[in-house]
Amino acid sequence: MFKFLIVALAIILVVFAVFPLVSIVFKVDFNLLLETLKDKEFLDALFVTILAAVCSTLISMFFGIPFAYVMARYNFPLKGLIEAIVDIPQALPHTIAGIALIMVVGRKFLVGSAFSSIGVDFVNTFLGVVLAMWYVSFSIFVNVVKEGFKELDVRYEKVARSLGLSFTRTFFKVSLPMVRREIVSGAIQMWARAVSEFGAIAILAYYPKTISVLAYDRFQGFGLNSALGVTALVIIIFGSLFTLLRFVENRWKSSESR
Amino acid sequence: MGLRVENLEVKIEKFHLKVDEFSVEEGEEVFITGKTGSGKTVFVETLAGFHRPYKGIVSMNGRDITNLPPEKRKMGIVYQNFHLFPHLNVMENIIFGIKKGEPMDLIDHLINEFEIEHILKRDVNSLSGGEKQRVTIVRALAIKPHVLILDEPFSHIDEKTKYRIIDILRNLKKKMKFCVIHVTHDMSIVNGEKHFEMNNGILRCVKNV
Repeated sequence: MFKFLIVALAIILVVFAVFPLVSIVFKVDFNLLLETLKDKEFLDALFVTILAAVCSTLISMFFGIPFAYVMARYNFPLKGLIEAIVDIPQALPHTIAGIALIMVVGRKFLVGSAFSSIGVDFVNTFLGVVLAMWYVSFSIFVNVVKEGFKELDVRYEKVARSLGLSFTRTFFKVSLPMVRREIVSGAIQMWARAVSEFGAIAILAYYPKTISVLAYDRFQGFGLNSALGVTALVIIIFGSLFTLLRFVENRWKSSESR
Repeated sequence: MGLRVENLEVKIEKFHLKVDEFSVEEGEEVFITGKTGSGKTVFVETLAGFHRPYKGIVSMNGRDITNLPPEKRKMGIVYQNFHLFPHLNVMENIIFGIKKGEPMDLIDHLINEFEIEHILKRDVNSLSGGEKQRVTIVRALAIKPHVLILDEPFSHIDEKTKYRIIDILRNLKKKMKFCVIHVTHDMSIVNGEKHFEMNNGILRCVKNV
């Protein structure tokens, strides 16, 4: 009986998760989808969203892998506080995160004015979109990779060192390859979160428009029907893309563990 | 010639290790026994360069190696749980510490000696416990170590394989001129020239022939 209840609850969850997505896709007129696919503003927003999410994920990998390694391997004062600080952007309403970012990289503020003096602007630029996406989602990547390093027995690294490899070579030949699953998994999760970001982007870089901003823009300016084409296509494109990435990731994991 | 330790003291969080004197000569095998958590692994890992002592000297063939990084000590280490790199096959594991262009004669000899020719291309996850341990020892010996550290290496393998490996190692240590530091719970294999016992971080010699 209890087993039945567990399965029933799981099915209800899946139905609730899928129902809004499916209802939009089936409600929308096929011609509207085709029209939206030819819409330059939609295609531009799609391009900006995908590219900015890839850039923010790559930046997270560059800084996040060393950070995750340090957090997993070393003990030092205030480590718990640093870990909590890194998680804060996750806990903040993302409009608040956007305002916090403006206070740092806005042209009137210290860092922003310094960058502005060398021609680099974050407000209403592609860089701003990347920064906003990165800020609200990098901790997803960091936490997944950190758990990977924590689970990796430090004796693998000790064996490599005893065999004559320096710390650096051990990191690249042993530690990194052995947490590659977590790196890939964290990158996919972070990329998906970055793609879906709206609040921080809308505050820091409304332009160039991302998909989330465009859908909001159409909904606010022209109503539900106008936003439907964009919304349905986003569900189809990103839903398929994310499912495909997950499928490839799972296939890769299962083939490796065999 | 060989490895010497004098007045060594190491502190790791609340654990304190103190070793007044320890030595192992070229071609010699010493045993370290003691309860779980007594500090045996901390001691051998300190010898291998993974913990920095705040006092004392570790020397190898007369040279002070106390502050030398692990990769420069030529001490092969073999743990209980094998620690074969799962992203590499058997042969890739064996030559892991070998520089490109180095002669393969010794490796071929070790592969022969430990009878693992037939598994060289296998995925390490598909090996049995005995096969894994033989590959791990060959990998450690492939770098021509001055010292081979065995930290409870036979816990997961059958008796026959255990004694076969012990026999091979006892022949090889004289030929290759390395010394063996053997950390174990298994008193049935303790018959070397020297036997030390670790108790609450303090090492004392219980047999020295």
